[in-house]
Amino acid sequence: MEGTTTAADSRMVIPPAGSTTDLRENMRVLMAVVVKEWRVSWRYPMNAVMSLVTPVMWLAPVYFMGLTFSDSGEAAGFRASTGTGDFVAFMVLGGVVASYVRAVFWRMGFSLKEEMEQGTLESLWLTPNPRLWLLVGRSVVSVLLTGINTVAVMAIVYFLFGFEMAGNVAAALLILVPLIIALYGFGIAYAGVVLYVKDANTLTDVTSFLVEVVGGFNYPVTSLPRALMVVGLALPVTYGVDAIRALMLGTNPLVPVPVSVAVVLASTVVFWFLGRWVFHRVDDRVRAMGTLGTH
Amino acid sequence: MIEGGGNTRAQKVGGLRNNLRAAYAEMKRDWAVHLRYPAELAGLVVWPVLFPAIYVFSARTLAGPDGESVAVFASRAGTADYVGYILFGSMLWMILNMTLWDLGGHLRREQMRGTLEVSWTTPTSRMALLVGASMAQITKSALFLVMAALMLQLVYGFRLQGSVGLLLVLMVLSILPVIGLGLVFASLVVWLKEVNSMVFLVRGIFMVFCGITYPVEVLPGWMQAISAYLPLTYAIRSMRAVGLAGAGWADVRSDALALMVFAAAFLVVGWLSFRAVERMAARAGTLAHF
Repeated sequence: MEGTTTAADSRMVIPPAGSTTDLRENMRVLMAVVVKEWRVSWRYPMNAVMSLVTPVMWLAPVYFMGLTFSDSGEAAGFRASTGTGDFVAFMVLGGVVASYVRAVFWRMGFSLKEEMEQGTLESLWLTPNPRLWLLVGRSVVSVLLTGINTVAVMAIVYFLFGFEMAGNVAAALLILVPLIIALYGFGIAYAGVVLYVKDANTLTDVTSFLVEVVGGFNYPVTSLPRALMVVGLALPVTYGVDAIRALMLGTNPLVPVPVSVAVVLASTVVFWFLGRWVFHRVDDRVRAMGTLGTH
Repeated sequence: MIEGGGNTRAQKVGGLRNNLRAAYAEMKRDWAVHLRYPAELAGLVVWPVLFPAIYVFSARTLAGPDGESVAVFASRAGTADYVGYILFGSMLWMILNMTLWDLGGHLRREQMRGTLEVSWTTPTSRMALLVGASMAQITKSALFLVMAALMLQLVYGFRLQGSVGLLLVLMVLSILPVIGLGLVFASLVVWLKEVNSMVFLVRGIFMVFCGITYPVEVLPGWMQAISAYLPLTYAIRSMRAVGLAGAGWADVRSDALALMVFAAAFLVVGWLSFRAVERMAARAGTLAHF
């Protein structure tokens, strides 16, 4: 049942994943998904509260560990490793990027698994809406929610532990925005992977955590053993977070900031093309196998 | 729906032997379900290495490229081996985490699958079923520890210093209150019908207050007061003392006694919570609701 033939029956058949209809219609689809996802997210207030508390709970052990290594408020070892003694600010900036990484894996990729389990994915996929736009709608909500959450968590950490950032915020945002776009391009590819493998819980958990280990969000990748450092240096996100810290905190960058910016911009283009390609391929395959409703 | 206060005495299958058989069957069933998900079993190998990694590499950065701050750490923690220090804390926290998800979510999962009401209406003792689930959890924790010891030796080059026998005694004393907590948790979850948020909250409290990566002495006074009421604080401290500094029984006796008290208290509270949920289910008939 692939492809549309005439304008008259265009709403009666399932279009291929990449079907291009009128932009206005696509925007309506996108807005409908945004409204739906936004409503669902706020229907679970306890989850919203825990999304504020959990990052602080993860940061607290590192904060108190930092105090254990500090003498009279000075973290000499950390300064020698990174170029700044403010380990809270260093980890908070890493945490901002890490929260988007987690959102891409869990809110983008794994949420399709939840739709599968709820039995709504197949119905949604059978509508004549372009599936890529359904995913873009999810991405928009995910970016908004993660942004709100990140700002709130930063405020809580500031009041609880305190940190200083005196760098160029606008320049840092100019790196963060394309980095987020690149991450969501990857997220679209990962959503395709979830459609295919189905039992994606452990895969998502381990892969997301592994990226956090090697991406150098809490520490520079130079603190990793050589084998892991190589993996970390292969990830564009490593360069993004490194450049943001260099601009905001004056840390020692891995490579000059313009080089990191070029890596992030190139990855934005590559991940979006790759993401679309992977998603369309998997989508075609899953529809051919007819396994969308099984999990 | 369970009616009339659950099974009557006449219906119950009594006797220690029968109860042990029921507990064994439940443990076997739990393991059979566990073995059906090989990806989760792979976690036994992956997580002991992956979970402490962020803390270990953060500590390496805090220590400095030439160990500039290691002496400061040693003066507060009593050892310069910050990697071993973190590994002990994180392993014990992971056992707690595993117990909260597995044993704590046990009744809730049965409820969601629709098997809880069915198994509770059989004449089998419900306590025997819960003991079986707890035994499955204890054996999983033991397997996890063996795998963790091997992986940590292999990946982080971790070497134990003290008496292995004393460490095993302390480990048993540490796991028992965690099992008790798991039983309390399992009962609460059936009542509140929400697992995820509760696991995040409880494990987060233990993570912040028990000193998994630092000595509790660096915490503010009010936080230290809270940590004194958490069994993991004593478990981590005593096992670190034996495993990293070769401490003997006399050095850790007070912590071991505290763990015994916690074990007795938590297991009794766990049992009482379970009984309360049983009564609630019989009265309200909400066992199948979720």
